Formats: sequence, C-alpha cells, structure tokens
Amino acid sequence: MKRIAFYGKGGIGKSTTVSNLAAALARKGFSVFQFGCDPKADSTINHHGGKRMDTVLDVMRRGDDNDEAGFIYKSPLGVYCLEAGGPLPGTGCAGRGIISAFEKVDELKIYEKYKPDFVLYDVLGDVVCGGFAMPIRNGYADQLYIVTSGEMMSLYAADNIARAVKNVGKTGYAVLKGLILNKKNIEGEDELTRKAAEEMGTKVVFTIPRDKTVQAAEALGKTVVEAFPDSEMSRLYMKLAEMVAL
Amino acid sequence: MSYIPCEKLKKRRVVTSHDVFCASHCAMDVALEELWRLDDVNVFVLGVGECAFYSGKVVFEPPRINRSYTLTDREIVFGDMSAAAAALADVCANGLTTVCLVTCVPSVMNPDMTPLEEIKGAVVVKTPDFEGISPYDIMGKVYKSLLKMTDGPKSGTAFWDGRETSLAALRKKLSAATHIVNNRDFLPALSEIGGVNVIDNVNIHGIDFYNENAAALGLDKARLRRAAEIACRIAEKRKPVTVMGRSAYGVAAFLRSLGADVRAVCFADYNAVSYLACRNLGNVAVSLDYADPPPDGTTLLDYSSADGELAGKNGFDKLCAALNHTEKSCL
Ligand SMILES: Nc1ncnc2c1ncn2[C@@H]1O[C@H](COP(=O)(O)OP(=O)(O)O)[C@@H](O)[C@H]1O
Ligand SMILES: [Mg+2]
Repeated sequence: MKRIAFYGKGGIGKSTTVSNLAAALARKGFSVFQFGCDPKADSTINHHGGKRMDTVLDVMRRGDDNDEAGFIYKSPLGVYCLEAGGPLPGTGCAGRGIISAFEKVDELKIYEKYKPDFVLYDVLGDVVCGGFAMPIRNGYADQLYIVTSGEMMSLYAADNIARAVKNVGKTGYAVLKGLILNKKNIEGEDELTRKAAEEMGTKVVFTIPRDKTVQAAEALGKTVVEAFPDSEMSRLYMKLAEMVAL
Repeated sequence: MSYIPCEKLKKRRVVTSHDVFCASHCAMDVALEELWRLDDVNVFVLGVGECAFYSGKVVFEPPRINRSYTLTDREIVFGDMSAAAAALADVCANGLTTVCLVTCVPSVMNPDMTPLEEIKGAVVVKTPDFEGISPYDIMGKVYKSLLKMTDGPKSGTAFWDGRETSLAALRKKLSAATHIVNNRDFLPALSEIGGVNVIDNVNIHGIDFYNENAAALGLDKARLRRAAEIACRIAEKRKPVTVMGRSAYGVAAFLRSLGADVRAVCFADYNAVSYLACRNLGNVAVSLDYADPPPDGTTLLDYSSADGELAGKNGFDKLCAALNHTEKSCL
C-alpha cells in the first residue's frame, strides 16, 4: 500500500488532479482510496456526478459510525471515496475534526479490510493548525506532492507546506517528492515555478496544462479520465499515474 | 535572564529554563477556590477530564453546587454546546448565581457561548490557564464579569479588600461613591466604572497621589512623612539606583516622584499588574531574577529579604515596609 498526500493552496487544482489521478490508477487496475481532507468536502464529487456525499464527521455527528457504510462510496470506475468533512465554518474545531476522522478510519481498520494499493489524501493546503498536518506528520502518508501554479500566493503556500516536512527521514513524516505544476497560464510560469522549487530544495516533477476538457468533464460531474478517456488530458493523467505508481 | 528595557518585557509567564513547575495552580483552580469563599455562588467547570477531577475536590456546602462538565470529542469537533447548556441550566435552577469557568480546551475551540450565557443566573468566563502571566491574573476577569455597575444614586465609601463572603455583599458595594481598591482582583472591574471616585491602593504611586488621597485612604501623616524622608535621602545622594524586592516597580515610582534616579528594578512578583506598572514606569531596565547583577554604575537598594512580609500588604503599607527595610540594609 502506497499512501500519498497532495497539498496546495485552495482552488489550485488539488481535487481535480487527485480525482483524475485516482481514476487513472483505477483504470490501470489498482485499488484506490481517495480521502478528501478539506472541511469543504468536495474532493471526490466528480466521482459521483457532482453530488456531495456524507462525510466521516457527518456520520460521526449522527452517531451511526459503527461501520464505514455511511461514508465510503465506490465510484463507477472503482475508486473508493471518503471525505473527512468538518464542523460548520466558524464553529468547533476543524483541525481536531480531521484528527477525529483519521482516528475513526483507524478504529474501523478500513485499510486493513479493503487492502488498497493506493491511498490518496487531498488536503487543504493552507495548513492552519496541527490537525491539517496530520496526514504528513503522523505516519498516515509516505509521500507528499505539492500542487501549485506559478502564482506568488500559491508558491508561498507551497513553501510553507514544504517547511512542515523539512525534517526529512523523520519517523512519521512524509517525504516530499516534488511539485506538480497545474498551470494558470501566467507569464514565465514554468521558470518561476522551477526556481521556487529549487529554493524549496525540491523539483517540479510533473506539469499539467490548463485545459478546457477539465471544465467539460466537470459539467458532466465526472473526471476527465472517466468522461473523455481518449483525450490528450486523460493521457496526461495516465502518465501522472505511471509516475506516482513507480 | 538579564536586565532588559521595560518596553521589551513580554506579557507572558517567566520561567528560568523550561516551563516545569511542581504542583502549581491553574487559573481555573485559583478561580474556583476564590469563588468557594462566596457563599451564594455555584461553580460549573466546562472542560476536560483533569479539570473535572481537580475541581471536584473542592467541596461546596449545600445548597451550593460545584459541578463540572467533561466535553466529548464530538462536542469539541462540532462546537456543539447544547448539552453543556442544559447541564448548566440544571445547576442554575437552585437560584444562585452560577459561574461557568471555561477551561483551556474549550477556550482554544472558541465556541459560541450564547446558549450558556443566555441562561438566567449564569455568568460565563473564559479562564484558560495560558492566558495570564500568573494564574492569579484570572481573578480580575472573573470579578469583572461578576461585578457590573448598576445605576442609581451613589454614596459612601467602599473598601475592596476581598473580605466579603458573598457575591450579594460585593455587589452591594457598587453603590458607593468612593471605591478604595486594596486587592488587585477587583482592579479590572472597578477601574472601568465611570462617574465614581476609584482610588487604586493596589499599586504604589508617587508622592502626589498620597498627598491628594491621604484623607480618603486614612493615611497616618507621620508614616507618609517618614517614607518621603527616606526617599529624599536616596535622591540626595545623586546616584543612579537599582531597586530590588517585591513590587520594586512601585517603590521605584515613589522614589522617582521625590527626585531619585531609578535606572533599574528587579522583582519576582511578575503578573498582569506588575507588567503594566513597569510599562507605565518607563525608562527603566527590568529583571525578574534576583541573581542578575545590577546594571553597571547603579547602587543596589535591596529589600528582597522582606518579600515574605510584603506579600500580605498592599499599596501604601507595602511601600512603607519596603522603605524601612531599605533604610536598614542599604542607607
Ligand atoms: N488543469 C486544469 N485545467 C483547467 N481547469 C482546471 C485545471 N485544474 C483545475 N481546474 C479548475 O480549477 C477549479 C478548482 O480546482 P480544484 O481542484 O477544486 O482546486 P482545489 O481542490 O485545489 O481547491 C476546478 O473547478 C477546475 O475547474
Ligand atoms: Mg479541493
């Protein structure tokens, strides 16, 4: 089982990238979990026709959390989806919420039961408190990729995340594998990102162009890999899957 | 630590190495023991296991209630305070004022406390231990929420030294026209009252303050004269001094008002009040460690051997005791 976390600034394309990667890995015959760790709980919606699913915390709040039936969904391509969820904005403690959701998944021994080949964590990138560092610091993810564009704010967030795991090789800490550049088509984007990566002591390991196919698939409530399997973008996500699977 | 300019003092606990104490109080515990003395209040501690365990050891005589509520993971994650509010309402049902002490964990969550605050007879105070410089600082906030000024005619003089044994008696004092504050726990509540005369006899002030308030404070003129004499003798030497001992910042203010050149102060009673007093003093180097060598070129006025004696005194009495000891040991 390979467990990989994806971090990055809000709106940068983490969920799009992770969903398509999950779909691509599933198409290659792997068993994949996609675990959304953003209180917005919209990581996996394009596996379900754009519909929101009940989250781990929704189910915990109701109290029917004796098994995972209420919060694990299998997509048509076979991706197992779950969302941590969170309290209403401005109430409770979202950081503790993430931790509680992780503990629930541990308690129910979900990975032992499903034995997935891949677990992909799609995590809110503005690491506001310790709760959101849970996946990369507490032994849940082995590897970390940071999704970014060439925009300053996005690179700034990337740098903060990179710092959170700087202690490479420390037990329980994920290893930073590199940046995934999800382009916003700003001037000199490749070069800017390459330089920023260098300063963070890492590399740009994959580049995804901005492409209308993404929106077209989204309109159908699907990933590109599911909706347009023969498109150029779909081929690219398959390549990303190959890289990640290595 | 060494002497630093007072502007650089930090509003946080001072520890010599690591933050390791043996059996020191926490803010909730301080508040609970203080409230125990008032025979017409209940206490409701909202927190986690340890808060409930410790607060439960303080026994309240019936009909008074001392109860605690232990938050669950779900309540922490979702900030759902409805069950806690129901429990608090239960406690309030005996008709006494119920002080809800909100401890560290719920204070970090910053939940919406409206459902608890709206309960009749409930007074909700956030008392996280990490908030103050000293755990005793929390009492200022607790009394501030318990003592709200009422309208109506004001007359007479009230002394605030903490000897009252009921909240009703404390509240009744609010109708006074002059308030003499001898206990720092009451300072935040009273210093905000407008339209009445509040005399702060917690801190030590300059000579003008004592001349002006001698009558109200009932000061012994002879003692005031003696204190001034000692200060003048220090000033006449025209040498820069470092004042060392309990409330040195206050003694420094008095010495300066009579012309002494106070360059530095060193004291161990660091808390919210002394923090402010140092900032207000201005132009002074501060150390919180008696082992620090005083700044070069200053004469040390050290009365710290009398710290124990000073601890039980306030304002003017503290000043006189400090100066007497200084005279004996340094002049
Ligand atoms: N490579 C891309 N090409 C075109 N649009 C993209 C691409 N990546 C992301 N988007 C758009 O950006 C929006 C935000 O992406 P999303 O994956 O939800 O961000 P995040 O999960 O980082 O908050 C999506 O709705 C999608 O339409
Ligand atoms: Mg997202």
